Amino acid sequence: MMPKILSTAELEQVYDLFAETIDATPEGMRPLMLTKLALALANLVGDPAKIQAAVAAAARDL
Amino acid sequence: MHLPEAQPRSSIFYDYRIHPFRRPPELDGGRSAAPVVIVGAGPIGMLTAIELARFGVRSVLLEQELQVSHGSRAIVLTRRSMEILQHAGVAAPFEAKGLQWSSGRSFFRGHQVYSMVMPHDDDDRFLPGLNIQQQYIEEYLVDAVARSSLIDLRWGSKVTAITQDAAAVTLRVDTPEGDYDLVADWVVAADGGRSTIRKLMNLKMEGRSYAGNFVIADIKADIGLPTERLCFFEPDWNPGNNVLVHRQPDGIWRIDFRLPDGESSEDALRPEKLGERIDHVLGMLGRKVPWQLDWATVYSANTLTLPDYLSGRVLFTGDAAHLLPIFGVRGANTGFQDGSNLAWKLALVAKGDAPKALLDSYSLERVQAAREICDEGGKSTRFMTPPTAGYRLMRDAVLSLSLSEEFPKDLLHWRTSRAHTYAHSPLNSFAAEDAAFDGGVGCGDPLRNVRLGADDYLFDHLTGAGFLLLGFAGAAGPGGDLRDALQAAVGAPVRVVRVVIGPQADAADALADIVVADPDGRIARKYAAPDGAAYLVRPDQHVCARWRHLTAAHLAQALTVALGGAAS
Ligand SMILES: Cc1cc2nc3c(=O)[nH]c(=O)nc-3n(C[C@H](O)[C@H](O)[C@H](O)COP(=O)(O)OP(=O)(O)OC[C@H]3O[C@@H](n4cnc5c(N)ncnc54)[C@H](O)[C@@H]3O)c2cc1C
Repeated sequence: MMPKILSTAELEQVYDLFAETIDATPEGMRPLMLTKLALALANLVGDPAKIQAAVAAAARDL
Repeated sequence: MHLPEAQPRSSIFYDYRIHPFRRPPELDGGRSAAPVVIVGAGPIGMLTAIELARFGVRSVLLEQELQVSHGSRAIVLTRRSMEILQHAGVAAPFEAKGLQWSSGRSFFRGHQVYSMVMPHDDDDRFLPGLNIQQQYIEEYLVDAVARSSLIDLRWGSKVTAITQDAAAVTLRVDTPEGDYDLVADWVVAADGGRSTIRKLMNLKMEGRSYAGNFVIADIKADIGLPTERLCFFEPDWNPGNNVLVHRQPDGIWRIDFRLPDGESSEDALRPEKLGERIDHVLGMLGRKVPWQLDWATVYSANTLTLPDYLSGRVLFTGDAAHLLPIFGVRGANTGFQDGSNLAWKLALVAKGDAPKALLDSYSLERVQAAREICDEGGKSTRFMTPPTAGYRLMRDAVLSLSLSEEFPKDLLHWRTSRAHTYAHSPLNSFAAEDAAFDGGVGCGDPLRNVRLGADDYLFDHLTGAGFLLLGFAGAAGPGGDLRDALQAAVGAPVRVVRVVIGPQADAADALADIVVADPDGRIARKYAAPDGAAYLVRPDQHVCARWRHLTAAHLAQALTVALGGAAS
């Protein structure tokens, strides 16, 4: 289980920001945009173990 | 000629009663003396009339139909709505009939992904939610209206035109026996979401409407589950969409689900199709029991409000003023707060006891509340009915993550309608004195209830129509400045009900209209009030000034501000 770091209000802001950025990206380009986003966030996290946990959570229950 | 439906609507649980049209004096050259006409006897129009009557103001209440709401419509009343109904003196039948509840659970792919118990304080009389069909809400309010000699409820009377000048409003009213003009000082438009008055005056609401249609179906079935909010995201039989289930009195259950995009309302309401989906829901609940349909309809979500609820001598309230998403049960609950805010102000202005500016504060406070609700309700709506591919992808990601992770679960919160705070109201004063309290109930907030004993709460004692002055006295009764202020309150330009709260009930008799014994200091603690402190409370139970030490001069200043006069 990952810890909760963002507050609920911050998470809500992120939710809207991501949704609107996806909508602003042409449909065929969305996987590319989201993958770049994942890479950029991984770089900001800076901890390979944490990144691995996030990848596992993302790949689960699809 | 307006010919309303004269046959009782059919329902398997509710006996509709036809209220006959009665010929009004205007059709024979007479005239009503009521200063206020309210258009629409829905929940909000009726509450407004009942509240006006408590302040001694007559009203004519016009209703185009001859019977109450078609279908159960708004089925959840919040605690705040119940407190407002209690204050209006009409809560008892609601409490007796309604099903109170406080928790909810959400499911995704057969797993419980979210559960919440809404906050409940031991000091509250009512639980956070009370389920009751709108037919009963209206019936109980019709009964209360009938008990008042100040309300002239005219069934079968439909407003078809409106004109106004600086002095008065004239309504054209169509009835089964012909039409007539009705003149009033003030008109309250409580004529619902499709408001005739709003259209006739060509006023436009602001905000957005969401795509996506939802079916509401009420069934009678022996499901045997407790009263709670159940939400199922994306069940197998309705991929991409969600289902809500709520219990109602009389063995009725509300099933609410989103339709696949592109499916028409007519198609969705076809008996075979609807029946199949209801069976799916019962299967999902693990209760494949026989059922009977009472009522079904299709709706969509809006976050719309008029930018101003005051237009000359016409005041908008309830759904006529705003259309809010039902996620978070906002329709009727927001309307009750509107009605309770409006009624006392309109009563004082109609009687000439307050300047017209007081009505501006109604619009200001309630438009602000509606905007906050549009914002909050918009978030729930974007989760429940994602408007775009981006929002749908985010919603799906959150649901999928919530099967294994805790951190995104707060996004599943359904944000229930809440009591609004008028912290920036122009009717508040003595901000520094307010800030000097260490806790308690702040300026602009609604009063908070306190449990005093078995079936005995503070709000049960705070009856009477007027401002309330809550004075906190020590063991020897109110002394010095508080005593002077209580005495001065008698001569105030409006009625101030003096409530003395103290450890000894009999120490204050002569100075108080109401005495509340507080032997353990429970009320004083909740209000963070030392001896000599006082709260000035508006007739809609919102605090507008408070002092740790009150003097008569300060009370007079605060009252002037609270009546819409110039700030001190
Ligand atoms: C199909 C449907 C389902 C709903 N479901 C829910 C729900 O699940 N939860 C929820 O919280 N809310 C729900 N609502 C909203 C809720 O019913 C309203 O918010 C609530 O009834 C508002 O009360 P009101 O008094 O402002 O308006 P209304 O209850 O609409 O009352 C308006 C009254 O004015 C009368 N009227 C209209 N025009 C005229 C005229 N020209 N002359 C005279 N009389 C007139 C009407 O006949 C009506 O009686 C639903 C609404 C609808 C329509």
